[in-house]
Amino acid sequence: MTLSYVAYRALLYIPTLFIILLITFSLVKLLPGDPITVMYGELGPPPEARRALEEKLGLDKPFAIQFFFYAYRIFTGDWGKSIYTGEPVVELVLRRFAATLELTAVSLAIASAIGIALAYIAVRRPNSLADRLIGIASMTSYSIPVFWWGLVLILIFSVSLKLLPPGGRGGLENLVLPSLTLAIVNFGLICRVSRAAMLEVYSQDFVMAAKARGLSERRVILKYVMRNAAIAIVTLVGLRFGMLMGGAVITETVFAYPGVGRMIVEGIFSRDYPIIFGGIVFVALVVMTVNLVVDLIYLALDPRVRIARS
Amino acid sequence: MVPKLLAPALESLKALYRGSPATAVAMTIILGILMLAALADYVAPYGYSEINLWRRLEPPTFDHVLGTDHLGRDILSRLIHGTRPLLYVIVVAVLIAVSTGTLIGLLSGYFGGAVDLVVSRVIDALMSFPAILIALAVVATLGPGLEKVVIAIGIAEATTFARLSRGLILVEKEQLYVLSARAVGASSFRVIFRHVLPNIAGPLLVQSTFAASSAILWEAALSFLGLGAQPPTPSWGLMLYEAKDYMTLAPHAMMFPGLAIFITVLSFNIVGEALRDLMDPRFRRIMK
Repeated sequence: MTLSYVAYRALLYIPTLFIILLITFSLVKLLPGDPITVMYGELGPPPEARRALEEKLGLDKPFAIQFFFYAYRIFTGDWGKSIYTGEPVVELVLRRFAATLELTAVSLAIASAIGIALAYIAVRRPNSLADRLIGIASMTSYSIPVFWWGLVLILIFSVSLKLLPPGGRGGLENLVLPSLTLAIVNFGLICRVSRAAMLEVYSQDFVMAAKARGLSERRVILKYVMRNAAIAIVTLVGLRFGMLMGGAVITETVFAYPGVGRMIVEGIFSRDYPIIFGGIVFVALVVMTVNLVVDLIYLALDPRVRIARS
Repeated sequence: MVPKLLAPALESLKALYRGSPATAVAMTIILGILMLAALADYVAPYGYSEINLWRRLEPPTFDHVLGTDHLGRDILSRLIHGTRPLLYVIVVAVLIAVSTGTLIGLLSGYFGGAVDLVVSRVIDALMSFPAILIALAVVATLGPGLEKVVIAIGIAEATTFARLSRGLILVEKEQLYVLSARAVGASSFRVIFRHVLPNIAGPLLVQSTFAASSAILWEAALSFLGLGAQPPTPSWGLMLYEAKDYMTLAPHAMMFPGLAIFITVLSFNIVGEALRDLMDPRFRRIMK
């Protein structure tokens, strides 16, 4: 049952992937200037050399052929090489992905911890002063421009206090500021969704029954409410995780952090098609995998989903 | 016709304003931005591109209340003039998003079938994907500039409206009023735009407010990457982009545009939330 469900969900992602491939491919094809002109400058190479290069890079084929050729190579794992450095895209993407994964995982862990803890406090006394302050804090969190917040942190911790490096990647100290930046910007949404989900569960009969049986408030929330609200929270954190895979590009730029998002932007600036394609398709794959994992966590968390499926 | 339409709108604005002090402050800030944009030439102490190289990167003083930037331009004046590109971005991006997104969502949801299947797969694909990459790809295709950024934001935000309006019309089209409109022979076009659209305007309006706040953040982010507004436009994001190179020398040049973006986004979010509470039938019944 579970295996066929996994297979079913995985199959659903194939058209999605196809659409993403088609959209990105069309967009990149629309980019002004082709890679050959970029390589050789305004005048371009002599016509024979250009023709040879076009043939070598497959740029002389019709759009549909180029697209299907490309899709075929993606599915067989041949992602091409960077037009400039000649480095295989898969290797480059994987190396950049490691950096992004590190940043995303750490910052989301911090954001979830803060968000869920605050939601817990808020739910214990709805509409109290604490609840309202937490509401304001969450809204502040997702209203902060992330690039500005990153710069403010650099200004405080790197420039004034000289405690932490302002960017780059290497040790743990390089990770503190970018992950704090992302955590602060992301905890608000997690807190809000957790609070709403927990409040909804809170008003249900089984919670009242648990309270009537004399369980402490803390126990009711932790054991009954949290568990039932977990689905909404897991969904959101999963979605954020996928979004940050490429969406951390601004933070990566501010902190000169060599992640996937930054790589795609660099690719766009230099029209390095394989890099742009590789990066975007890779992010899409990661997002889909995360979504699939979230679906599977449902199964583990909620027996109702399990029964409905079988 | 117009007063008849405006009266309830005015009434709900009043209700919104009385809702909570935070909402009142946020609405005042938005109103203030509208007025600054209208009166920028009269209110701003200096022109937005008035360069004074003798007075570069000065911290706040009496004649430059928020200090000057790397070209000696008055930051306060640039912020005030910056409300114009800001409003331009909000209005045009949200209009693009609402019109294209809602149109696609309504048609797809109403007619269903194979088109709906394809449309919803495309929306799913786009939504499961970091929107900034879509916006980046669009900007890279069209080239940098405020107009292109606006189109990019509009397209990236349109998916939200498509999904929202599709979900709404799926519910609405089973309603009695839609069935009776169809029974008396109203065309699909008439049913969708004359009957369903007014009934789902509330949620779309709420979403527009949130779209406005994200449009501000998007524009600032893209300008910050050097892909948005080009100098000497007093775009707040661009001001931040230019100031970041001097941030150790003149942190104020970077602080104030950031604060301006932050406060504006916060205001739109607060108003959006209040509007949603107001539109929510459960709350509306309580308020009546």
